[in-house]
Amino acid sequence: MIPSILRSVVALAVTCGCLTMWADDAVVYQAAASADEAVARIEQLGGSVRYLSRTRDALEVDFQFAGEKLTDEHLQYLHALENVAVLRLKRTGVTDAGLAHVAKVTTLRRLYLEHTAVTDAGIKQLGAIKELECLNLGATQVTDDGLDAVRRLGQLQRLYLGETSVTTEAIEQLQKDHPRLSVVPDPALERRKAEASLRVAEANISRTEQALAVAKQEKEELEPQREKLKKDYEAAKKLADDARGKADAARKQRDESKRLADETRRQAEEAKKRADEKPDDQDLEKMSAEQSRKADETRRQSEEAKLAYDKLKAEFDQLQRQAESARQMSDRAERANARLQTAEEARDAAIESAAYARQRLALFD
Amino acid sequence: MVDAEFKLKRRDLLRLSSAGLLSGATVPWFERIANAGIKRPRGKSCILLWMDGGPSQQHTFDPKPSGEFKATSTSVPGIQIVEQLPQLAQCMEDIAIVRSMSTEIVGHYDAKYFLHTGFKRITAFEHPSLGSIASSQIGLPDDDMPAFVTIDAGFDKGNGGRLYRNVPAYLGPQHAPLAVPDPSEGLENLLPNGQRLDARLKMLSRSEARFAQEFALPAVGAKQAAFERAVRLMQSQRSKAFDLEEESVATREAYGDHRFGRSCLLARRLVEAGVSFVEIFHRGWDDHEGAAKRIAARAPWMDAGMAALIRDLKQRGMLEDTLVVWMGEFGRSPGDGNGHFPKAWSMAFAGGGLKTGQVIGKTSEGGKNEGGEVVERLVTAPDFAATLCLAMGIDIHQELMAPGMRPMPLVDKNAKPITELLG
Repeated sequence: MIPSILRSVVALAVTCGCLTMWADDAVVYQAAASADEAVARIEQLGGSVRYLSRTRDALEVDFQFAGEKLTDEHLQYLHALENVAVLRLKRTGVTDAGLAHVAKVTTLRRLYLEHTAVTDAGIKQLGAIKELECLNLGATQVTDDGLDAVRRLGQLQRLYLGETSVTTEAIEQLQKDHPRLSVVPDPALERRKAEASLRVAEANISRTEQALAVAKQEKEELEPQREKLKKDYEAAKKLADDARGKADAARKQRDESKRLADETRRQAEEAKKRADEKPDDQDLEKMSAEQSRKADETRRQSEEAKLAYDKLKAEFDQLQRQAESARQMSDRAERANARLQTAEEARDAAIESAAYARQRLALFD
Repeated sequence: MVDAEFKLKRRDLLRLSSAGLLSGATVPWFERIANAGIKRPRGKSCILLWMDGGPSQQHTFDPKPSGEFKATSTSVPGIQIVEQLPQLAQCMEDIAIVRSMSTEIVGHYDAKYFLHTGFKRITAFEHPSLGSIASSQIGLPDDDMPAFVTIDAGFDKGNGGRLYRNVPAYLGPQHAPLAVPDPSEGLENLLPNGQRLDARLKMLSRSEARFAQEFALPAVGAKQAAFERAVRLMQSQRSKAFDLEEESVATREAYGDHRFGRSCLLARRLVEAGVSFVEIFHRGWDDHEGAAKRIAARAPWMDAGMAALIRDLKQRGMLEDTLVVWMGEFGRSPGDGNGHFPKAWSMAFAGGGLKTGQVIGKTSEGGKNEGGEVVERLVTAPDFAATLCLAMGIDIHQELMAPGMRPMPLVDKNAKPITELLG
């Protein structure tokens, strides 16, 4: 009894083991009776079926993560689905034989075959998919020859031929014949762009080199003079400050003199008025004359004070300008080193940028 | 195909949504959810290049005659960018520059929040970030790969305030991002250590199952699901996407010898492997002591990395299904770029099937404060969020339940997407 149970257990274990192995290595194709079943089997392979957008019925079938588990036979599942618009077969086990099944999916708009074993022979079958807009043949064995089928696809807008041996000439010819078709990458175009980038990058180097030379010169000229320029500025500032002090004092004097002049003038006018009212009064006449004399005196003093102030103010303005100049020079000297460093960094960055641009252009040699 | 009579009441829908168990209640394919495995719409992937700190627009994508950086022509006649970005200049037909961003918020964290979520920060609750939204709306719930990944591209200056923390908020914890601390290290520091992982996992799952029985909360289930997903990732072949060594030397050189370039390359690989949203962040753009010197130093690697990414996506046929977004939380003052400047700044889109090769909006020209204000087609943060979501194929009007039983739309109701960009 025990041995037979053991045998059953072993048999069961072995079967389970086989199934597990089986699940890892290969999923055998079984025709799907319905769309639901097709979706389930596609998922079993590691693929997925999704709607393209929230509002449209079109489907995307994605086998990218199924890898070698996806074989030509499995592509028949597509025929159980409606409105498959996008099919992704990158890095799967599809071959030319599988493309026969794909060619029957006439609703396809976008087909991705990168990194698969398809060749010109298989690709030629794709001419049957009349509405195809986008075809990705990157890293496949397509050659100039295989492009013949592509020519017949009137709706094709985007064709990807990266990492293939399709020649630049063939691409140029294709683009000429089909202006609406965009071939990516277009080697001639990419080269022109790389050249344009390099030109700008090299102009940047020139510009920054020039700025660096100026900064170097400034540093050489000004740095030794830093202390002197600083002292010059301090001296100029002192002169300006002193002048300001003098000008302030003169201003006060001017204002005071003016006030006094206005006051005495008013008194003189007052005195004259009284004298005019009583023309016979000798004392009033005398006072008026005295006030008048005082008013003249103070007016003269006020005018002198004003001139004195104007002169001192002008001197101050001049010295202030000189001090500002000295400050700027001192500042330039202080920052000459920092400015040089900045200029160096800008030049180094320009060189780095150009190196990347040059590296890119080198891909086309 | 079976069309089940399967109509939930709105309240129930929203409650289920908040448990992260389901989303997308108002789409045609939902009715067929009874139908086996046709999964939610693919939408498009997104690679967000987040320049943290606020990159100066006049030193990048909106040069001015009075500015410190001069302009160069690009591969699109009439469009100019700074001459320090020569390779990007040649990618212009695949790029759309928005020069009229205007977002009011001048403080770092609040501004980062605003641009990452499309909503102003409030005290009541947190809003989900755009990456988490993408994960919940486009990502597949039971996929080997995480739907949302962030990559740390390093810093050249530790400024700009603290980094924004991407939160899934009411979308559920399973939509938090997987964080890659260093693109060169890849998944290394996420791999388990020690032996007998299977046995340990079995033990863990038994105790987790008991816990889940007692505390049947959505958060518990979600957390377990996230853990299971992490384990699945470790065991999946697709995790090889995290390994940059698989790329040729030529490719790695083209992206540039800098952490930013390596992050871009990793992002491309992750999108290829099925990740829906990758955010690369680089710190240090908060240039309060003058932008010219600093951006001159950054330009080489930013130019090489971003141009290589756009070109690589294009040549692999991935660009039409992948959005690339370059931006920060605001711009910088016109002239020397010393201060924060949310009033008028630039961001750039590439790919994603958008109408590229154009400039959206304009800032002022001439005068004392050149570039100091937007003069054409102002774009706010909600407008940007709406545009990004629509470009990815997400329904922006969908409502989900935020804390306090309040229905929240994914994007502000008043947002005006940039229709000139969308197909």
